[in-house]
Amino acid sequence: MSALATASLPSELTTEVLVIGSGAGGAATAMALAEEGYEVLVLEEGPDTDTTRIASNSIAAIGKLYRNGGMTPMLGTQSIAFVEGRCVGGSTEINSGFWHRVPPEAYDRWRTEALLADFTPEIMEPYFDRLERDLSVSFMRPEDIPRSSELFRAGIERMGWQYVEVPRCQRDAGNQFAPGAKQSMQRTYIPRALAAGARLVADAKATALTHESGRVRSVEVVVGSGPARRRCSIRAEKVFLACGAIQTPALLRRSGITRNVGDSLQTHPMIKAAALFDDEIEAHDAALPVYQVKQFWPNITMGGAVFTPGFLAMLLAESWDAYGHAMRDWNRMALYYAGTRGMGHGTVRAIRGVEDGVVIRYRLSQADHHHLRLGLSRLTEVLFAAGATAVYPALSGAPILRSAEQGRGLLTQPLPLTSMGLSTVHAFSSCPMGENPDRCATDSFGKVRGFRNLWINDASLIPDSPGLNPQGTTMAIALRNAERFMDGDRRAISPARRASAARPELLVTGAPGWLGTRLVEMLEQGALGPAFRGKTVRCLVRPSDDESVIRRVAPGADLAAGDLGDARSLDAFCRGAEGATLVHVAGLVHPARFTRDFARVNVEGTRNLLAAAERTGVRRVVVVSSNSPVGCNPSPGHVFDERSPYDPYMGYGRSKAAMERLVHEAQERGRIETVIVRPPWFYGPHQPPRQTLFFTMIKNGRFPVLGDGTQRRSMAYVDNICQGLALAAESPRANGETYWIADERPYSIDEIVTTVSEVLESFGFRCAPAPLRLPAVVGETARVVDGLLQAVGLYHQKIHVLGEMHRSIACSIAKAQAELGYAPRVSLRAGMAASVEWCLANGQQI
Amino acid sequence: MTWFRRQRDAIITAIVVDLLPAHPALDPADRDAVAADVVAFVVAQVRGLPEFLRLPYGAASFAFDGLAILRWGRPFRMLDVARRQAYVALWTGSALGATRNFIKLVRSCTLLAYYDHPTVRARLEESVTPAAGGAAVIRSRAGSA
Repeated sequence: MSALATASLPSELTTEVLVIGSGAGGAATAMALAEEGYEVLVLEEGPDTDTTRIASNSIAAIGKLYRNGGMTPMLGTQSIAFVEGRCVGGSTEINSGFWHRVPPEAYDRWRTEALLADFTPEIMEPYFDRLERDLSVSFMRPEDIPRSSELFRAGIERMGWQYVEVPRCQRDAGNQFAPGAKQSMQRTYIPRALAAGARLVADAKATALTHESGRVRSVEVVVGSGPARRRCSIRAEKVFLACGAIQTPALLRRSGITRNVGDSLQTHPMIKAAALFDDEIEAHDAALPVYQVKQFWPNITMGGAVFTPGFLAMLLAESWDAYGHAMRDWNRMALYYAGTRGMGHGTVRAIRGVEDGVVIRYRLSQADHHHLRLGLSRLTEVLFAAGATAVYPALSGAPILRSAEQGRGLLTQPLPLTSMGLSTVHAFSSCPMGENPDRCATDSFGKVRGFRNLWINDASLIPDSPGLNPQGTTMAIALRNAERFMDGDRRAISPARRASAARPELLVTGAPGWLGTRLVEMLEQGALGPAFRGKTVRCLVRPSDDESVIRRVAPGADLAAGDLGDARSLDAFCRGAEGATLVHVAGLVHPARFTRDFARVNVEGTRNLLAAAERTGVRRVVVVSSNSPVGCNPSPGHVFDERSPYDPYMGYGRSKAAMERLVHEAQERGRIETVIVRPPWFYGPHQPPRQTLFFTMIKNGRFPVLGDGTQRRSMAYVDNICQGLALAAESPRANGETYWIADERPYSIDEIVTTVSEVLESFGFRCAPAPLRLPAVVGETARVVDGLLQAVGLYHQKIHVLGEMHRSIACSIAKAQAELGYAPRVSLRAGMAASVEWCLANGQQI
Repeated sequence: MTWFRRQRDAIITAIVVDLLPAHPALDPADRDAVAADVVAFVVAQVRGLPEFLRLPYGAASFAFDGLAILRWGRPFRMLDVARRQAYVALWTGSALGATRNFIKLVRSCTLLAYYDHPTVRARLEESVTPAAGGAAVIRSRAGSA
């Protein structure tokens, strides 16, 4: 296995598609999407243990491959021992590999009861055909059929019952448990997914989904165990849950997603019996028994069970004092089961505050109890018909059965549930799919109700009990849903595939932001001159961003999922962009709380981006900086130019100065051309709420004018900045240069406030007659407080802004005018009017 | 917690040793080695229980150990072999499901690990006795007559 080592997993990671779980559903999903060019990351909670070297029914396997060492109880009147895999490949690494298609009657039932759409034999059979080829589903060679199975078949035929031979996912027949024989996910779809570019991280448990407004923002993950254990966060554009019928609802419920989640768990409870024959059977050395009695299906199924001396002893432990001596005849014994369809009711609940705390309850119905009793009785009959001389049922305190008559007697004597030793290896239906909103957690294709980017694709989706091994059904549904997802997504973003289809000429980071959105909008409109008309544009979009804005203003842009913190995603973003120009708009101005985020985004993010641009042959990178690297003007009449020395203002200024130095270093390396553009305080359409608050405060007379109001500020209307960026991108002379890009001249604070006030009144707003005037010492006090807070790593936006309101930040655009031909076209009044108009048109409250 | 875990493991170890089957007969050295492996497996299984069961199961093991004092004035681990076996039998046949299940879990794990231990498997295969009436071996291995 070529797994991505957990040690290299960064604390934050970005991917286009995150698949959680690598079992039947997860591996099929990852393979299908990776082979279509999606960037896929697969998380597996369990270890990456190579099962080609370990027999899946061995003691070693139980410790390494089974959840809770195979001791997960389904609680109820009588607990049911539930066994599932917890390793790369999931339960496909430990199960029998039996293969069934969806029973014909289930199609109708699921369509009627779950209102499951587009689910017919005609639609599903091709998926089964494909899976059966891929997994080598086949019948056992007659000469390999084990003695225990042949005896069982003889008994069934003597009883005159219907039976089937069940095919399995297996190559070269022989012993099912021979290492490597079974065509599990480790040997089929996981290697295919990895070959197609998917990444796999083992020992990584998803602990919670962070979501907001119907969108998963990130997935919280615990990686490793013991002292090496650590947490990380993964941001994904699309998230597929394939953790199985227990862990998928547990993760959802732990994340506060509970609607029809974990409320309808179904299972196939079974009871086993050991049969003693006259002849040696050597069941321990044989392949898995293959015949199943279908005479009483779906209520009752019977068949042979996996045999080892240890498994036999476990069954005999139900009444060890009475049964234990039978171990001396172990070589003449075999194990069988009677299972029922399961008509009870189960739930899955996560225990808050306990990481692995999952409580599974299953209340066996009276019908289940009856079917288990009837199944055990009939199993006893068929075993005696097969030649058994004694049967040891998994019933505590029960006697050894010596005849079929005694087996039939089980139906007439009290047989409480609590006496039954029950187990199951099948769990499903905990998050059923379908259009019935009263019972289904997802739509007919696994998309979680109320979410735009969250799907389930595992056995949880099966609407109710199919009455047979659910692996085939799970995988066929997973492929169907993955294809449906891709069909629906073809109109949407798919960076890797689009990257191969179109070579971008212009790359833009920060496109979902204020300036970035306006830039791609103007590019789309051809408003930046003939040099940019018809250029193919690719935008970097974080998975947590709302890309709908860009899609609306620039439908022709290619959107690439990624993050400045994820170098791999930046390589994908820049792939195929040899000779292109990259405009780096993304940056962090106001962190939510901590100043360390400045360095993470503005410095390290830029470092990652420049490295990706150098690796992939981007020609020029235009980097949007700020006035903050040079701080505030030293005197009222002073204006900054490009030769002004660095004097960064607070944490933001320091991060932007460090970013500019990185750009200079890249320029010196000579692999890319660079240009730095410094816009000051900007305004214009697509403004964030903080800028609208500025309008509201002026309208209400609450905007604080500190000092006498003559301090000056350069401002930049976004269209003017976009013009400057376009010139910086195209001008040969700009290579290696820095430019201030702003409006024609600086304005005094009084002029800004007065202009905004007049613009607002021209739109019918009634504004306060005068602004809030405060002494300059208020600003100075705020500056000191801001400095103290930032010294301990904290950030407060309003204090920070107030702290520089009494200072001048004015710059000269002479160099841009002279060298680039920059000529700002929009005045302060016209720009503010356009901003107010945009606010009103977009429902922002002034 | 370390002390709690150590005591719990010691109690489980004592129960496992008592539950080890006598069949098949092993050389003393082999038996000691097998016992050590079985104990390690069962202790690991108990440690691997779901978190919400691990604590109650640990508490039950303390109760099991301590309640022996009521009958014999000593905890389970300090009893002689005959009394230990009698005490285990008492819990196995108890009317309370919880006490039965406590022993059943340890016994099941013990038997699984014991009979699937390579040494025991080898001994079992060596000691296969002909079937009653001397019936012929139909297949010595799957796939071969």
